[in-house]
Amino acid sequence: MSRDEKLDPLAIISKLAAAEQELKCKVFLAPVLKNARVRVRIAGIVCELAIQTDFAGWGLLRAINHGQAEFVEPASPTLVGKYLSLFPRVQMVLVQQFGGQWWAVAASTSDTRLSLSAPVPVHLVGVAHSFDTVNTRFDGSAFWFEDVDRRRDPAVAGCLRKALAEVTKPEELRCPGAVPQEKLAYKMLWLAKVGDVQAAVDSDQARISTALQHAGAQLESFWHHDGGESTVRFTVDGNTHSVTIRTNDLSVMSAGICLSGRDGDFDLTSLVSVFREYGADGY
Amino acid sequence: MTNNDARQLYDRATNTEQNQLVLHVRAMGRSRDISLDALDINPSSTDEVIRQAVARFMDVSEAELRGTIIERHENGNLTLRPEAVFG
Repeated sequence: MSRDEKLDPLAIISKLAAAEQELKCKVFLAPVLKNARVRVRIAGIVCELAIQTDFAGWGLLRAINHGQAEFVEPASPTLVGKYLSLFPRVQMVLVQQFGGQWWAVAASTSDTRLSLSAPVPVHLVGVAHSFDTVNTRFDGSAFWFEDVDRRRDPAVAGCLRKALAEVTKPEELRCPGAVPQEKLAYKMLWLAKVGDVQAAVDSDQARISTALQHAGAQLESFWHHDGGESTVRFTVDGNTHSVTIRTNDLSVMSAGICLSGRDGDFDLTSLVSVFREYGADGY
Repeated sequence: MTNNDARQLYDRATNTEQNQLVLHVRAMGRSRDISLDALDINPSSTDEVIRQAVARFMDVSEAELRGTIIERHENGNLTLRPEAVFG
């Protein structure tokens, strides 16, 4: 249609009705998801059809009347492959099923066609496991599983699954060949596995360690006392120090050196540079 | 939060991977971490500029930050803290 031609709503409706009538007589291929309507493009417009079936997967369907379709039979892999080849391929790293739905992160952050800043659902995933790199096809609104990427060394995904089963901390992960996005997927599942309870147990250690690392010190150990106090042992430039802090806000109760009774002016982070100054001044 | 929300897990996993340079403020008995980006400063900013930025950010007067010293760490982070009096 040229730009000068006016849109004729009646003609469009008529065209759609004719296309829908034509569809009634034809069997068409579409992905069928549980509790979801089937989407089909008719005369260039996407329409949704309700379907009553327990089947989930790639199916051959037939429109039976206005807004409804019936399941005919599962689609052959060849037919599905032809359909999927219409869309661009995007490689993803499978994370896990959440609420019965597979989620994945982009296998590469350098893909300029599509910028994914969050995990996305991948539909109709066949035989695949967490951390597998898979080929998906993006139809403009959803990612559809195509197959597992056979070029990717399966030993990497296997190593990650084994490490997760052993609840290995992400920073202690040793899986040769694992790429950043696979490590990211691992960290997500590690967080899901250890849960908030473990995270809370780890949080004191994490807070203390992070506070020290800010100023370039390293935590050696810490232990709690009654009354919300903790003793922290750490190294600064090779020298070991022990201090007593309030665990809740990391403020210093006793620095272990004489600060004219002003220990409470400092917290764990700021105390690190005080120790440096103390050492540099030769006290 | 729940442990079965992919997007929240992603946020948690990626947030902890951020490696922003941070200024740790210990002043007036309070502690706070502020990214250098948020303060619009960098490790080579002068002490005066840093104190002004912190005062603005924390909504305190510059006078309240007098007597503090600023430490520059090898990892690029900064610490603003009270002056230590030994002995």
